Amino acid sequence: MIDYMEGNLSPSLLKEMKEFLALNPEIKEELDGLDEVILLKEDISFKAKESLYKDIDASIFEDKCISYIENDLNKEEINRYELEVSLDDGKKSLLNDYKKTILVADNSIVFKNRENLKRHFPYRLKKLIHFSSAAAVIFAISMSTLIIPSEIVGTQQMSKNTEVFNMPKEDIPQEIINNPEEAFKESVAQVKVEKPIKKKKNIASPKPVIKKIEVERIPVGLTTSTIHNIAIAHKIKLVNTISNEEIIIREKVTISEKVIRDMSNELALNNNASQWKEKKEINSTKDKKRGISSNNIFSGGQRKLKTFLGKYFYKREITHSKKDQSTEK
Amino acid sequence: MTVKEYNISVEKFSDDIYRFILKSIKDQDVAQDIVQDSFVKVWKNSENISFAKAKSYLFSTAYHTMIDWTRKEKKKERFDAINEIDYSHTTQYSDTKEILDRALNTLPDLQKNLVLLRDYEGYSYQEIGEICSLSEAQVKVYIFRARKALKKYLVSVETII
Repeated sequence: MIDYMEGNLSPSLLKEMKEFLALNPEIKEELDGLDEVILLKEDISFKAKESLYKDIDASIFEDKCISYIENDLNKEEINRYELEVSLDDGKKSLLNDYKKTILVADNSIVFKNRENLKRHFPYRLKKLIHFSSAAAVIFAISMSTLIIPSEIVGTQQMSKNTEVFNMPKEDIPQEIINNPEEAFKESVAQVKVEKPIKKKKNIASPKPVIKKIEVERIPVGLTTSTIHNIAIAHKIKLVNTISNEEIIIREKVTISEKVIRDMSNELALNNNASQWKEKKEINSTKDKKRGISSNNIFSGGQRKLKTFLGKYFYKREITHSKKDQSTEK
Repeated sequence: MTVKEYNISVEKFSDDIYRFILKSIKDQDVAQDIVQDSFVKVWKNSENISFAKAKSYLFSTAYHTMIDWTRKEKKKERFDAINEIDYSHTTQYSDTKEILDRALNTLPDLQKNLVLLRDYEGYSYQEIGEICSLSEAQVKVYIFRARKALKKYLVSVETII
């Protein structure tokens, strides 16, 4: 019906509608009256329309003000803008209003717990130092409990453990007494230590671990004959040859009080003399066996055991392997 | 970033970050916590942060921590439970700075934070965008709106006075 009244029906539907209305005259009468009920457009307007309009120029100028204080304008735009502002007091006032919106930090506000945030320098290095110190202490303790082998170094060519004993003054070679500093030289002995083979599959023979052992002083200038003479004088058992077998040395050392007194007195009298200092070798506690490379006592690699200070020095027990050939006097 | 550089960052930026956070949330204790949390996070990740980027990283971390806190702790009240007297005062507006501070509180949080970063720290639009996870254009628009709102508030207060 409404579509019919508004004229929205298609021609075919319109024809059908007209036929229907012809058959129903009372409905047609009702529809005829409704044609008159149509609202007409009135002439009504909003009077305050003008106040709604925005000044395009003012809006643009405000954006320019903000851009100016935000430093968004290039040089040319800044110059134009400043000229425009200088010619108009209203625009100048507007710019000043915008300038007031710039916040300024209150420097009286400070963070009080600043020091708690800081890390102590060197923070990471401190940890490393702690660990390193602990490791060094453990290492030093373990090394200090190791064997102090008692061995005389006959020559410079010794590559094994070396020791220096306190000698009676009359036994010290003259060249050493005259120039003790020259007589003693530092050297570093290298000891090859065989690493124990761990039970691993498909493992090749382990590489020997080379340890550098720092030896403080090695007396030089002691000839074979000197050592023999000393041994004879003190009735010391001299082991001339040592096989390549390993020699196990027990490290217990005891010195009597009388010996200590005698030694200290002698040292006091012979300050410039060679000071044979007891050396401590640093070896692994696990590795007390030392290889011997040659049979000659005085050749490099040959280890010699001496006890020519029978009265002065320490007790020690030396066990030899079966293949050792010792010569006794 | 080395330890030394980290400590320099603490020295240089802790006050600035604290000021920024405090102005945003108005709670000293929470602001201190946020600053500390930010520096802890930076310290944990210090090996991956260069000293040149430390400031922006710190501000970004602090900003996001503040946002997380704001979302968790923001209080809501029923309108009819509000006592208007609590929000009014009879003191004179004698200081533009004070007025501006009040004007700042009328801004939405995001606009307020952007204006603080812009004026307090002098960040560029791009840097602010990186801190607040916004585009440069967005930052610019928000700041423009904030400025207009602040100016409007100031003018209206001065008119009343």
